[in-house]
Amino acid sequence: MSNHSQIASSTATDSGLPDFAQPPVDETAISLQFPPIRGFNVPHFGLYWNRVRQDFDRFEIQQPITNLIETFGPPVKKRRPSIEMLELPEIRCWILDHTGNRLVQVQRDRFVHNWRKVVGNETYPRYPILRESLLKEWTRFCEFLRDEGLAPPEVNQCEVTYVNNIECNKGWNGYGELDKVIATLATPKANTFLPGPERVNMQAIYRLPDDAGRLYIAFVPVIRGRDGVEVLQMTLTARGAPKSPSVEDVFSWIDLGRKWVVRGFADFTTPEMHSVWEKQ
Amino acid sequence: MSAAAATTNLVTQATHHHAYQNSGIVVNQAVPVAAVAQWKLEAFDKIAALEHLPRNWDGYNSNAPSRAVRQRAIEFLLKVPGEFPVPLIVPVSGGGMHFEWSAGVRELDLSIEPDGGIEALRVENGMPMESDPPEDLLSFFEWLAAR
Repeated sequence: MSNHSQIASSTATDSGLPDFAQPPVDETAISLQFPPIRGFNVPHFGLYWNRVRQDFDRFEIQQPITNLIETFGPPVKKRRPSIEMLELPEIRCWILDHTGNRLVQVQRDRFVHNWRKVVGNETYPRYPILRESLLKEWTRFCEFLRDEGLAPPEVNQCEVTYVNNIECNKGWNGYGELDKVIATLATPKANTFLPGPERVNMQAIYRLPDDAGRLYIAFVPVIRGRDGVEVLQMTLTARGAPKSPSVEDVFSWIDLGRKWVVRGFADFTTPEMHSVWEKQ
Repeated sequence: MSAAAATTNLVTQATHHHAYQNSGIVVNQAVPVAAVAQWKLEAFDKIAALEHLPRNWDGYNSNAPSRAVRQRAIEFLLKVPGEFPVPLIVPVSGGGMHFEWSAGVRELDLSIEPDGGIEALRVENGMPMESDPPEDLLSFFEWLAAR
């Protein structure tokens, strides 16, 4: 871990990417996925929590989430039914800071770092801060595993997800004006048969260069759990494999994924909405 | 469009094996509008309106239900299965919120306490029913629907 400061300092700048003073981001999640850590058992969740408890004073137990791998080329058919012998109760543990804004999710084959709005008026802390926080927590997790005599995780898949909640009446007024939000969309204008749509769902998938992964962009009208308000949720997810499980390559992939998320967001949305979000 | 469509020609999505799969790493709750019953949307509007209650709205110095109480109510209602009429929703002195559903001879009263706790009471033919030990709250809605 001696070169972590280099990893942090070499890529912690945010220059060259579109930047917004008031982005509609509601949550970010960066996930590192790996084969299940052998020997990682239920007591390890408590031991790990104890190590980071001064920063994350609450925990919740959740159902584990599934392993996902981006594949390329034609789908591979399984030759035989896959049978997995579960030796342990599988759980996912959320550990949360006192505000609930920042949390770490741990399960036997995943480590996720989230930032989210809880009240609704929080300021997005910006990527360099989140990246630094992820690096710090990932380092602590790896050190914990080492101290427990467990093998280091071999990261085989990374994911960067940004959830943006685009509120109506802030630059657009209903789905008949969705072309004011989505740059690639043309909606029927006057003298056409169709009225404005009641709602619109949309998804686009992009391939990252050199089969490094994919970027998924989804627009879904949702009810926000925080306040019951309907918003257009734009979720951008970049997912793929790092060149190697080394910390350098893992964080290099995360930077790439985040770059695609940000550029995808800027390309997919209109200059008018960029003004609303105060593009710098 | 529903998967059980009336069309008969067989097609396979070209991008099937690349279709987006939600990994589940996002934590904040949001439910697609298409999956939310109309009665809930109307209930959310009523809950949101309670934010604007003036202080001392009840003459006992009560505040309007807090953001946390309103959020607790919305998150709970999002989980309620089935179709119901829009409930009666009233603020409770001290900062809580009270919901009331009626269906025939059955009635379900539900309160969100200022500390976020939820209490429920089933009433049938005007008589309260005991729940000992406490049952799953969501099962109370099955009981109400099975009138």
